Amino acid sequence: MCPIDRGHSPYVKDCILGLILLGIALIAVSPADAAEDTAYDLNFEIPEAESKEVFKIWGYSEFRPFFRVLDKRSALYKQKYAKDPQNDTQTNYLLNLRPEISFDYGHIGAYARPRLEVDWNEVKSGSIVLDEPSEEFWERDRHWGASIMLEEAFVTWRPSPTFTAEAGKKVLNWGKGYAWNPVAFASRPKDVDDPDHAREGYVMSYLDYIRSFDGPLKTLAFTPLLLPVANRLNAELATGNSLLFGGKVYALLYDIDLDLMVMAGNNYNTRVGFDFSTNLTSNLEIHGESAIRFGYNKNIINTNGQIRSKTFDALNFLVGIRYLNSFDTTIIAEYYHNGEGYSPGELRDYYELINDGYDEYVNNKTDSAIQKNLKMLKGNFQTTSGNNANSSSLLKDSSQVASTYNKSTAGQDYLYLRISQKEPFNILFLTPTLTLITNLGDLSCSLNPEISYMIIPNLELKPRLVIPLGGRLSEFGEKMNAFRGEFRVTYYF
Amino acid sequence: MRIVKTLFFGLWCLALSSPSAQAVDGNQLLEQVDRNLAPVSYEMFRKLINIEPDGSKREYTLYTVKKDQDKIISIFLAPASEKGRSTLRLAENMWLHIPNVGKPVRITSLQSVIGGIFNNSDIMGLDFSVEYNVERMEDAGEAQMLFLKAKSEVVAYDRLEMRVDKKRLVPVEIKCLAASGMLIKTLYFKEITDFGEGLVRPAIIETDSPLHKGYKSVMVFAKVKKRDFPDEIFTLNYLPRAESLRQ
Repeated sequence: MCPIDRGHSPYVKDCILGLILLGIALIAVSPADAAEDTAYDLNFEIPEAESKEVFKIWGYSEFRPFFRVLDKRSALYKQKYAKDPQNDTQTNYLLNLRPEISFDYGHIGAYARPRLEVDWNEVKSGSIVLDEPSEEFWERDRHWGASIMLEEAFVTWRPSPTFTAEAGKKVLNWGKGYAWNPVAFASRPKDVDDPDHAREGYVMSYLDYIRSFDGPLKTLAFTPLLLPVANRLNAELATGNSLLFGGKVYALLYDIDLDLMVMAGNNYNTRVGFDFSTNLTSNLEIHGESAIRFGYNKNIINTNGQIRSKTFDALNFLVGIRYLNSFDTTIIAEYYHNGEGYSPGELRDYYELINDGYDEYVNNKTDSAIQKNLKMLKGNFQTTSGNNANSSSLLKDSSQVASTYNKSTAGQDYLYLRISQKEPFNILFLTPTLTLITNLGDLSCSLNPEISYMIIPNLELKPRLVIPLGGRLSEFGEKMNAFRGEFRVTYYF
Repeated sequence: MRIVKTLFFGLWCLALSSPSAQAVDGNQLLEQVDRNLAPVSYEMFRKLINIEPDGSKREYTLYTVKKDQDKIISIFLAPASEKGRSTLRLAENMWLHIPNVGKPVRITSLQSVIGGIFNNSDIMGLDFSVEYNVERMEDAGEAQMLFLKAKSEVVAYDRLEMRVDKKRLVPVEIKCLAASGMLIKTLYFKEITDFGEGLVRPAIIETDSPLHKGYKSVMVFAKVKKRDFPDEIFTLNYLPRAESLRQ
C-alpha cells in the first residue's frame, strides 16, 4: 500500500533506532525517578475545596528537539533548495512557554494564553507574518528566532447558565472529526500530524444561548458570532477587509449530537455545514460532518507552467468511528473527502513541473558555466547577463501555486487511522500510538509512531516519528523530509 | 376455615420470603443507601490518590456536580497536567473536554478519562440504584449483604456484592465482579464523617485490585453539599465553562 522508494535509508534506520533506544532508556530508568517517597503517608487535605481562587495561573512548557533527513530527490526539496543545496540532515530546537491566566468573579471572567517561543534552526526558513497581537525577534539572525503572541485572550459575561457572551481571541472549534474538521469555519486548520496540539484562535465575539428540555430533544443551543478581518487580524479567513458573520445551532436529539452551521461575509466564500455524532454501542461512536464552500476558486497548473482557474461549489465531508476494545485499545478511523483538493493527476503534473524546472535550472547552470569557460578561453573575461543562468521559469511558475499545492492535505481523498494502546503490559501512564494517514488517490502515506509517557506527575515525554512513504510523483513521496523525528518534553505547572 | 386461613397465611409468608419480594425490599434498601451517601443533587470535591508498588503516589483533585439520576459533571482541578479536563454524563451520553485541544468529544462510556487504575465508574458513577437491581439479600450479623446485578451492559461491573452497615445504612465493603464472576476490585468504605445537613457517610474509599497487584487507590470526599442546578449546566455548550460553578 505504501511503496518505500526513498533515499537515505541508513539514516532513517539509524534515527528510528536511536529514538526508540532513547525512549526505552528513559522508560527503563523511570520507576526509580518516579518514586516520590516509599511511605504510605497520605495527605487527605483538599486545598482546592477550601476557597475558589479569583485569579489563577497555570500552563505548560515544551522543549521539542527535531531531527530530519532531507530527501534531495523530492520535488519539494528541489523547489525550495535548488539554488541553495543543503546537508542531508537538519536539526531544530524549539522551546516554548504557554502560561494560562484566568480571572473569574461572579458573572464575569477573563482568560489569556500567551505563547513565548524561542527556536534554533540549523537552516532557518522564512518567517510567516503572525496575526496580531504578536511580536517577532531576531528575524535576521541565521539560526535563532523568537516570538511572543497571544494565542487566546477573551472576556466572558455569563449572566445566567442559559446565556453567555464572549469577545476576544478564541479557539472556537466546530465539528466532530478528530483529524480534520471541514465545518470548522471559525478556527485555524488542525495539523493532521498532531491534531491534539494547541492552536491559535481568531478574534471574534459570540453569544451562546442554551435551553434544556425533557423528551427526545434534550438540548438546543444557538451560537451566533462575528469575526472582523483586516491586515494581521484574522487575515487567513478572507481575501481583504471584511466582517464575517455566522452561527451554529446545536441539538441533542434522540441521543445524537447534531450541529448546523453557516458563515458569510464580504471577500469570503459563503459556507454551510452540518455534523453529527452518536454512540452506536457502549464502545463504538460514529461521527460525520459535511460542508459546502460556494464559489471556490481553484488554481490548477499544468506541466508547462500554465495556470487555469476553476470556480465551483466545493463539497467537503468526513465520516469516522471511535472504537474501544476490551484490551483498552482505541481505534479512530476517518475517511475525508477534500473537495477543494487536487486529484492525483493534478498533483503529478505539479511535481513533474518542478522536476522539469529543476532540470532546466541545472542545464542552464551547466550551459552558463560552459559558455563562461569558452569565453575565458577566447580572452573575453566579461561575464554575461540577461540569460537564464541562475533561474528557471518553470520553477518560478510552480512557486506561484506552492501555497495551495504544498499545504497539508492537498489531495482529495484521505484515510486516517489511529491506534493507541492504553498502558500496555500494565505500565501505567504509558500510551503508544500508531497513526497512518493515506492519500487514497496515489496510495502514498505518512506513518507516525509515537509514545506518550507521564514519567512523573506533570512531566510528559513524547518521542514521535513522521515517516512519509510513497512513490515518485505521489503526495507523500515528494515531501521534502525523508523522515522526521521529535522528542517532545512537556512540563505542566 | 381455620385450615384455609392457616394455608393462606403460610402462602403469604412464602411469597414475602421469595427472591422477588427480597428484591423489592433490597431495591428500597439500595435507594436508602444511595441517599445516605449523597443527596439527589449536590456538589462535592474529591481527591483520588494512586499508590504504586514502589510507594510513589499520584494525586488528582476533582470537583463534581450532580443533578437528578442521570446528570453529572466532573472537572479536574489538579494536577496541572489534567487541570480543566472535564467530563459530562447525560444519561447514557458521555463527553470529554480537554482544554486547548478544543471541543468536547463524545466518548464511549467505557473509555477511561485518565491514566492509572481509576475508571469512569469511579469518576462518573451514578447512584447504585440507577445502575443496579438487587437480586438477593443475606443477613450477615451487623451487616446486610446485597447482591446486585447491572441493569445494562454499559455499566463497568456486571455484579456487585455490597456489605451494608445495618445501623447507618451505608456500604462497608463492595466487591466488584465481572460477568464471569472474576473479582475486578474491592472498595473499602472508611472514616464515617458528618458532612452537615444530616449527611453522615464514609469520607474515604480505599480500593485494591487483583488485576493490579501492589497498587492501591484511595478516594477522599470533602464538602459534599446539597445544591440545585439548572438543567442547562449539563450541556455540551456549557461544559468548557463548568468550573465557574464553584462558589
